[in-house]
This record gives sequence, structure tokens and C-alpha cells, in this order.
Amino acid sequence: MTQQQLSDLVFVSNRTIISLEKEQYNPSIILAYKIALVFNTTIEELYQLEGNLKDEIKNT
Amino acid sequence: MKLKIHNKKGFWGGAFLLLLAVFYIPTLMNNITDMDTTMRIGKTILIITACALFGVTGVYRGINSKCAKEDAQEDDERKKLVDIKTKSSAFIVTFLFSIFLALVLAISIGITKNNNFTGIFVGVGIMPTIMIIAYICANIYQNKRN
Repeated sequence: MTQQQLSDLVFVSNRTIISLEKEQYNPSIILAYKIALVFNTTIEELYQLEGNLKDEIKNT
Repeated sequence: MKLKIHNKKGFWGGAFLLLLAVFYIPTLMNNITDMDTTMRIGKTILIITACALFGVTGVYRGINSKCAKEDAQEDDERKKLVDIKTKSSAFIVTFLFSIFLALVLAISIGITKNNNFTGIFVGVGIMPTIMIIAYICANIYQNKRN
């Protein structure tokens, strides 16, 4: 799937998808949910929340 | 055929610019008779052209459903966040700059004892004051709303 196709599906600009991929921008819960729906997954899996949380705990 | 406005903000923005272009035309006509003001004529023509171009684009994109959809898609949450951050940065820069300028003027008045600087100092010095008051008012308003 191209960035343009994804941006059209979740109704945001192409630039937003680029920023999300580069981890420059944290999406709103609604946008995260929309993207998760497109990829037929959950927000937790999409953003690897468990792994990231463990890393955060490790670093602190 | 009934004309439907899909993007009201863009449409009225464009209409305002077109109106501005129309209002500028009499200024151009007045200046044409006076040949000494070539620079002013050039500037007026430039303003009219820019207003007309942006105006027509705004109106067209406002009534075209496909363009309006594209504009709405572009105006997403990230853009709004960028806009908020930009305004915040601009506010801080203006605030610091006006304080710096007021300080320079205060020092100049102190050294030169020239009263001509006092008027400029008051003008510049009032800016950060207004900004602080506006910040406090906006903060109270937004705290109540959100």
C-alpha cells in the first residue's frame, strides 16, 4: 500500500503519513484507530505499545 | 443550476480577496493619471493580480467538491498542530523581540536624554503588555472551554 492510498483511506494528508512513518508525529487516538482498522489489527499491535512500554521502563 | 459551497472558509476567503482586487482598481485608475508614481502603479498592479489569482483559486476550490475534499484532507490534525505550534513560536519571538527593542530604547533614552525616543519606547513597550494580557485572557477562556 502506498502512502497516498493510506492517506486517502484514513482521510489525512500524505505529509501526515510521512511524519508518522518517521516517528516525528504522534497521531490522535482516532487516527491510530483508523490506521489499525485499515491494517486489520489493533492499536496496541500497530504501535507495539507493550514493547515500547518495556523499553521505556528499562531506560528509566 | 444551484451553486453549492463545499468549503465555506476557502470560498469566502477567495471572495474577500476578489472584492479586495475590485476595490484596488479605483486606486490604480487614480495613479495612472499621475505619471510620477510608476512604483506605486507597479505595486498596485501586483496586489490586484495576486488578489485576483488567489481569489479565483479560493472561490473555485470552494465550489468544486473534489478540490474541497482535497483541501479538507490536507487540513488534518497534524496541520492543526503545526499551526498551533507556529503561532506559539511567533508569539514568543514577537514578545522577546519587543522586550529587547524596549530595553534598547530605554537604554538609548538614558544615555542620550533625547525625548524623541520616549514616544517610540511607549509604542514598543505597550506591545509585550498587551501580549501578556491577551495571553492571560486566552488562557482563562481556553481553560473554561476545554
